[in-house]
Amino acid sequence: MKNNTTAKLITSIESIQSLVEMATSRNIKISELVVEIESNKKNVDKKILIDKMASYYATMKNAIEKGMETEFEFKTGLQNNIVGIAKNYYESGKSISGTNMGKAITYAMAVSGYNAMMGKVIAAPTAGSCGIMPAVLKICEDNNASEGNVIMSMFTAAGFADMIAEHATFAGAEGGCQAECGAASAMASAAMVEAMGGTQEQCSHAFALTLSTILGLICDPIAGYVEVPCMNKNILGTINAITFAELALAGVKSVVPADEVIIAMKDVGDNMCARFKETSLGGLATTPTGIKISEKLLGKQKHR
Amino acid sequence: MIGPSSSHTAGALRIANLAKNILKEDVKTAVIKLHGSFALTWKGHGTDKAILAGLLGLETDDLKIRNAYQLAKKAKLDYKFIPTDLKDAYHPNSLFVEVWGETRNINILASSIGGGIIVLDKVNGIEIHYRGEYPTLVIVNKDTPGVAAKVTNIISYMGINIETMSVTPIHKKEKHRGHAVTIIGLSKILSESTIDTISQIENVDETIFLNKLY
Repeated sequence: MKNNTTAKLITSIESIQSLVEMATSRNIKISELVVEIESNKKNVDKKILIDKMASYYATMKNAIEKGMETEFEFKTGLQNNIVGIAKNYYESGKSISGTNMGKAITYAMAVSGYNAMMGKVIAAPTAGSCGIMPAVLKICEDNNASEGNVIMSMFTAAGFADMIAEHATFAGAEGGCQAECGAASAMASAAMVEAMGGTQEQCSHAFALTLSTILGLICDPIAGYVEVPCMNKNILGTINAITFAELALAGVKSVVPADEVIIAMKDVGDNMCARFKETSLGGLATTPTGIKISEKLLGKQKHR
Repeated sequence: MIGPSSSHTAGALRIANLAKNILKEDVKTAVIKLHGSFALTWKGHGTDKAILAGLLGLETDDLKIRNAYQLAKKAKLDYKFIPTDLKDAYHPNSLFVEVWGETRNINILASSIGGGIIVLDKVNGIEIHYRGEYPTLVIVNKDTPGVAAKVTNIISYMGINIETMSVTPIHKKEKHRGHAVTIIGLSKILSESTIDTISQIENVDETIFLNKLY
C-alpha cells in the first residue's frame, strides 16, 4: 500500500484540506508535499525549486536591510524617517508589545517603504503586500527557526496561496486589499506555524483564522501611491499573521475551514464596490486630505 | 520584482514587453490606453515607467525601471499615455497597447490579474486569452478543411507535443470574416524556421508565436 501512495504522481493541489490530509497521512510537512507536487508539475528537480525559493528569501532579507538604510522620499506626506522613528522607539525599552512585535513592525515598514521607492522586492503575493512575508519569516529566524526550515515554510505559504489564486484573486483591483495584504497575512501565518514546528493542521487553522479576520479590507491608496494606507496595512497584516500563528500553535482552531474562507473572500471581493478596489475613488483617497494630496501631486482629475 | 505594485508595475511592464516581442522590432512609437484601476492610479503606481521599461525590453527586476523616462528619451521612443474607459466588459486592470516599429505595427489588449500575472486578451483585435503557461502558436487562417491538420503535422514532425489546442471561427469581424483562429499550446518553443514553414502553408494568413511568460 505504501508504495502505491508514493508512486501516485500528484501534479496539482486540489484544496488546502487535501494538502493537510495528505501531508499528515504521509507524516511529512506540507511544504515537502508542495515541493513534490511542484516538481512533478514542472518536471524539474526539487533542489532547483528549493534553491530558487532560497534566492527569494535572500531578496526579501535584502529588502529589509535596504529598507532600513534607504532614505525614503515619500510623495504623500508620509514621514521620510518613519522606519527610524519606529526602530528607535522599539529599541528604547519603552515598548509595550515587546521586542519581537517591534522588530516585525519595523521589518514590514522597511520592505514596504523600499517597495514604494521602486526597490527590488518579492511579490508575496503582490508588491503592494510585499512587507508581510519577509517580516514574519525573519521573525521566525530571529526566534531560532533554521533558515532552511524558514525557506521550506514558504512552500506551504505558496501551496495555500495557489488556492486563493484559483478560487479568488490577488488583485486589489478585483478583490480589494483583503486579496493582497489579507492573502499575504494568511500565507505568512501558515508559514510561521510550520517554521516554528506546528502541525499540518495548525498551518491551515492559522491561515483560516488570519484570512477570516481581514475579510472586507478595502484598497484606497491616496493619489494612487502605494504609501498611505498601504504601508500601515503591511504592518496590520504582519501582526495579524503572527497573532493567529501563535494562537494556532497554542491549539486554537478556526470554525470555518481555510478553503471556505477563501470562497468567502471571493464573495466579499466580488460584491465590493469598485470605489474601494484600487481606484482611489473612495475611502481615505477621497477624504478632504486625500483629495488635497491627490490634487497637489496629480492636478485636478478629470474623471473624478 | 521592482515595486511598488505587482499588477500596476510588474504586470504592466510584462504587457508592454509582450507588445514589443510580438512586434519583433524596436518600438519607435507607442500609444497606451489605460483602463479601470490603471486609469486612476497609474502615476502613483509607477505604471508609466513600467510600460516604458517594458517597451524598451527591461526585465521586471531591473532597477533601471526607475529611470525609464530618461531611457525612453535616449532611445528616442515616442509615446502617449491615454487614461480611458473601455467599459465594464474588460478586466479592471486592462491596457491597450499599440506599437509601431520600423516596418510594421501591432496592437494588443491585455489585463494584469494580480501578483504580476497577465493575460493577453487580444492581438490586432483577435481574441486570444493567452495566459503564458505554454509556448503558444496563434494562427489566423481561412476557415477551410485541412489547415489545422497541416500545422499539427509539422509540429509533431518536430517532436513537439501539443498541450492545448482550440479552433474558433471568426464571424463578426469584418476584416477576418470567414477565418478561424487556431491557438496551440506547445511543450517546447518553435524555431524561427518552423514558424516560417507554418506561415507559408496555404490559407494561413497570420502566425504569431508567443513564448512562455514566467
